[in-house]
This record gives sequence, C-alpha cells and structure tokens, in this order.
Amino acid sequence: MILFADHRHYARRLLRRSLELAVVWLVLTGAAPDGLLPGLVVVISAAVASLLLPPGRSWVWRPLGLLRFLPFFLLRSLLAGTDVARRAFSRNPRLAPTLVTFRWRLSEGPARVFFANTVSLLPGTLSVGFDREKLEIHSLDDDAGLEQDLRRLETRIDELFRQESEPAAERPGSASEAPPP
Amino acid sequence: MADIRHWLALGLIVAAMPFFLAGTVGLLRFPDTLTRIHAVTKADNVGLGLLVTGLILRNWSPAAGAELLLIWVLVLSAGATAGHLVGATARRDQGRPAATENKP
Repeated sequence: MILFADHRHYARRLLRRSLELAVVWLVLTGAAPDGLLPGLVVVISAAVASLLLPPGRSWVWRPLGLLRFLPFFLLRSLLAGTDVARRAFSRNPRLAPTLVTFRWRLSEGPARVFFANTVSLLPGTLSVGFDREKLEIHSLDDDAGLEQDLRRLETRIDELFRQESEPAAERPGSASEAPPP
Repeated sequence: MADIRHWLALGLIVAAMPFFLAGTVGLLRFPDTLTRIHAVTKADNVGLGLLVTGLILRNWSPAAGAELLLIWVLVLSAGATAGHLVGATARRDQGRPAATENKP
C-alpha cells in the first residue's frame, strides 16, 4: 500500500520533471521535427537522473524581487567581466588573493545555492566552499568593502526568495546543533 | 530602425570578443587555479551575455530570442557551478602546492 503510494508519487514527479525538461528541449532545438525522437530519450533520461538526486525544496521567485535583482546582477557582472579583463591584459595584474568567510543569514535551501553561484559571477569573488554555517569566498583583492557588498547581495537575493511566513533573519539549522535547554 | 538595430547588434557582438579573449588570457596568465577560475567564469559570462544580446537584436524573433536567452542562463549556471566545484577542489588541495602552482 505504502509502496504503491510511493510509486505514484514518483511517477508524478517524473512526469512533471519530464514536462519541464521537454520545454527546455523544444526551445533549444526550435522544435525541429527530427529532434523530437532523440529529445524524448534525452528528456526522460535526464528526468530520471535528476530524480536520483535528493529532492530540493521547491521555490518561486518573487516578481518584484526579480525586477530589483536583474539590473543589479547585470550591471555588477558587467563590472566583474571588465575588472577581470583589465587585470588579464595589464602588465601587472596586482592580485592580492584572500579567503573570506561569510556567515549565512539566508535560510537554508535554494537561496543559498543561488547566492553561492551569484557570488562567483560578481566582481572579484568566487565561492569555493560551502557548509551549513558559512560560505568560503575567494577574493582577488583584500578589499575592505567586500563584506558590505556581500550583505547587499544577500538582501537582494533574500527579496527574491523570501516567503512571507519565514523571515530570513532567523538563524536556520540551529535545531540539530543547539537543542533548546 | 532595422538599420540601427543591425549596427547595434554588430557593436555588441564585436564588444563580446575582447571578453572571451580576456578569459583565455587570464586563464594563461593568472598565477594559480583559483584566480584562473575568476578569469574564466566572469569574462565568459559577460562575453556570452553581449554576444547573446547582439544575436537577439540581429534575429529579432521571439523563438530565437527565447532560445538564446535560455542558452545564456544554462551556460551561466553551468559555469558558476563548475567554477565552484573546481574552486572547492583547488581550495582543498592548497596544502599541496604541486596541485595549484603554475609551472613555468
């Protein structure tokens, strides 16, 4: 009985994931007719592969948050590319690499993954390590304003992911490490 | 109008090239694995972003636009994720200089 329910649950997730991936395939191939059969194979294999991973938390982007995040991200990543290009072509790139530890305030789950990935595309920073309490960031400069920049990014991403019911200021993941007295 | 769009597209595509070049130059010139990843991820992101914008302007159809944007987003997430994985591995190996140092 339980097994049966499990299977139905699995089938539903498989169908849903396949449909999402099918849209990606159709867009990427321009729905070319001779791409449909290989697409079927690829989409179903990819869907099965993705379901082998532990399920992530589902999430939605808040439209207003996205509206504020997008220009911020585009401008900053343009700066990042220009900065790194300038260094690459300059006679003396003047690198002062440092490692910075960034303590999470974002709630656990997709927002943190998104933050870590975004950090790598912004000027001078690259995320190189990840655990429940902190993110390790490699910086090209030992820049004093870095922490402030990162907190600003955190606010933007928080606006993008936050649900009204769970404020991000709350420290997540404390239940297992510090049981209440 | 179509003329302006055409030239704008051309400008963006040409502007994308130095970024791709910079990514590769940085990859060759920067001193260690971590700084090299900086060069590749960020420069390629901007290069591809400009290229995609230029191509969207050039083709100017919703289907092609959606396709190009999707490619950009997919490459962005793949690049950032791969960069993180290589970076995390390089960071773990930092105790062993042979793994990260540049041999002339």
